[in-house]
Amino acid sequence: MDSTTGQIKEAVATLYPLNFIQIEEIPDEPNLIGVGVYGVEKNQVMVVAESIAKIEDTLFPDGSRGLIPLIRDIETTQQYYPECMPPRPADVMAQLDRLARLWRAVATDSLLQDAGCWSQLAQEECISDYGLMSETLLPAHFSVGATWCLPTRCDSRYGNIASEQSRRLPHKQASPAANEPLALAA
Amino acid sequence: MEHKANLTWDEANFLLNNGKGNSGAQRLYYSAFQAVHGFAQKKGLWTPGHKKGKHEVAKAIVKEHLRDCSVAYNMLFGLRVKADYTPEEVRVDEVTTHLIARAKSVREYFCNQGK
Repeated sequence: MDSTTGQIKEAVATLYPLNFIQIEEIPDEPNLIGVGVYGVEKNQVMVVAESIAKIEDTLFPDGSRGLIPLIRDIETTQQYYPECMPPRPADVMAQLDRLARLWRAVATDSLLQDAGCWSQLAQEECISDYGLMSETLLPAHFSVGATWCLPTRCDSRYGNIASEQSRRLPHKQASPAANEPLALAA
Repeated sequence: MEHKANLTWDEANFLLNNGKGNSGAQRLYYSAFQAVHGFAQKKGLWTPGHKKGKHEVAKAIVKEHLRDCSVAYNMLFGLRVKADYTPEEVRVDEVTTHLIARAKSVREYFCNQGK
């Protein structure tokens, strides 16, 4: 993926983080770039097309390249590209629930004080879920949390800071509250 | 190209009214494209051997002259690409009344401008 297609994909993914996005070739027009967005609600198709037009204006104000929306609604995605369906709301809620538990533990400070909690969370794969969530659903709200919570499975942006923070953690006994099931945050 | 654009428009409506989404979407796009392309040729904006493709030029012309129709025109081109090159079939209900109305506006505007 060259830098142009990477920029386009990132710009679209920022707006539609749960949808599968693919840059596609326009066979008879090599200077035009197809932007495939999958699993879009039918009544949102034109909204997505307008977003793509705005991205075109931002990235190519001189008209050097053009973007063509290749939007697949849910019906088409289900029928022809089932592997590109966005996660079901129930799955997202389950991940959010796990994220909320982790976040609550961080907020009560108990997690930060016990290195043992890190490995436990890593075993439960909360951290990888957390990474996924922080990258997709709630990047702004949870960026601070991501700094604290991604010491082992971090991405390049958070890695250094997170490693630094984890080295500073004092080793204390974990609070039992950190391991209790917690309700989904409002 | 006006006559051809109008014929293509009739074909598009016939196909869409008879449940042919793929072919209907193609013809609807071409009914607009033929009008724009005729305008481009008449004004010397596109000639054979032009460094840009004819669809790319048409897209830019619509964006410049009929900004309100630009997104819908891009959508129509996208439907035509899907109809021609991708595994899925374009459904009739994907060719919305909004897209049809915009295609009509583009066709009429550029047919008039090209006279």
